[in-house]
Amino acid sequence: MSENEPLVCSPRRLLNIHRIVQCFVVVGLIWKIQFFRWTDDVYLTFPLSDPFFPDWLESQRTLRIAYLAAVASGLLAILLNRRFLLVLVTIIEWAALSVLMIHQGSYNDVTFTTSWWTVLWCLFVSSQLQASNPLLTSQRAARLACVILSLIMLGAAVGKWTTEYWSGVVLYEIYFRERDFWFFNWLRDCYSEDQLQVLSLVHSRIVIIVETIAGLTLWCLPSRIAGWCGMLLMLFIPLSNNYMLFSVTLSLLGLGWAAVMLSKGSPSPCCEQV
Amino acid sequence: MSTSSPRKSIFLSLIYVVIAMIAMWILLMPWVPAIAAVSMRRFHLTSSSFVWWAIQQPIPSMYNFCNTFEIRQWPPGVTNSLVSDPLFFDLSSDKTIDFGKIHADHINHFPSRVLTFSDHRIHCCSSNQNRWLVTVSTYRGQRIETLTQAKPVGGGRFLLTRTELLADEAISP
Repeated sequence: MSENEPLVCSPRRLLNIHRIVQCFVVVGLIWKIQFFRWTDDVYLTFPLSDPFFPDWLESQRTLRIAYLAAVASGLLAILLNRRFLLVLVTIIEWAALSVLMIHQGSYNDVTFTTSWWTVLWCLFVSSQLQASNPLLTSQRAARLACVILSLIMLGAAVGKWTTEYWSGVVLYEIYFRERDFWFFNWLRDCYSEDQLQVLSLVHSRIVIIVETIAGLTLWCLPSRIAGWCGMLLMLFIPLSNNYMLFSVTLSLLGLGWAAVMLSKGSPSPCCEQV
Repeated sequence: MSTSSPRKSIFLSLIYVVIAMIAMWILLMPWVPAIAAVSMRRFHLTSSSFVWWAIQQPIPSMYNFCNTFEIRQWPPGVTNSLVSDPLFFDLSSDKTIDFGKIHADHINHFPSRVLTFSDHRIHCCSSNQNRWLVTVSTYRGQRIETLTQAKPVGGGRFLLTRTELLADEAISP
């Protein structure tokens, strides 16, 4: 890989950005490691037979192998230089996350969904490291990161376009009523139940509006602006709701960061091509 | 997976096609009841097949729909038959007390996880007795209700049986 090319379009720089995004993914995957270890004990004690899932997707062994494979291949992707090997371990990582997304014991954890999308981005970048036009690859990678962020926010927003969320009832019941987190504990200390319901309504509407705007616009905004907006959102969500949510948002935080870094020095966002 | 051409990337085009299809699916959900119903069934693990459910898993759906659950020590119908029993009647409020209900709450997404996931699983299964889980998801006037029985079959293992109680796909704004 040449080191004489301009900073923004150097394949080495692209590789380094890819590595850092992989770091975000791996940290996100191990963020709840203590919880996952405890979960593993629960599944060992109380196995479930569910006709809905194929046997191999109920197996605890499958779950363990998939999780360890996702983390190990993520770590390898940070260390490797050779394109072929990098693509190979990224495919393994993506396949492992695919299994985690449909396994009986992990299908509901959005950590694996956001990591899956981020690793798909990594797979595109790693497959393009020797492309003849690194500038174009950088622009494409930046745009793809913004599109993925946009899609995630859109999925979160549209499912809330219903009266139960608009009235604040759902978030009141889930968070404001008794969630043990500094922000909600502080609110309960300061406000009456009626006031909390009003706050919940306001909070809920702000969430819906922000997610909707992000979902509808991040994909077409200049990469740097979209990246910064994505990062702010992905920081704000766990800091104001639940630190465990960093497992969900860290990989997306990495995508936002990549969009910002890859847009540095780009000629113009309107020149970005797919 | 991809070409080395600077102008074309088949892999990238494929990713964009998938993203466009998912975005379209998400955006149509509020106006096409069938899509909302399919998405809610995904949350209840009552999709028409496992493959159809698995295909939907990459669709982002954090905090979608209003989801509630009840963990019960007997199914809902049994309580109704006991209404006339004074033991099940709260004299102070003239209301039937639902002794079958162990725990009820709202949940952010995938209410089916109350039986399948981690801390919820231990909550349901630690007594090693039959448990019934009623999950309800509502979205823009639609409602999906599912009853899941967890039956102990020995060695700490539970057998799950799912029944869709209600699938009201009519739009009632």
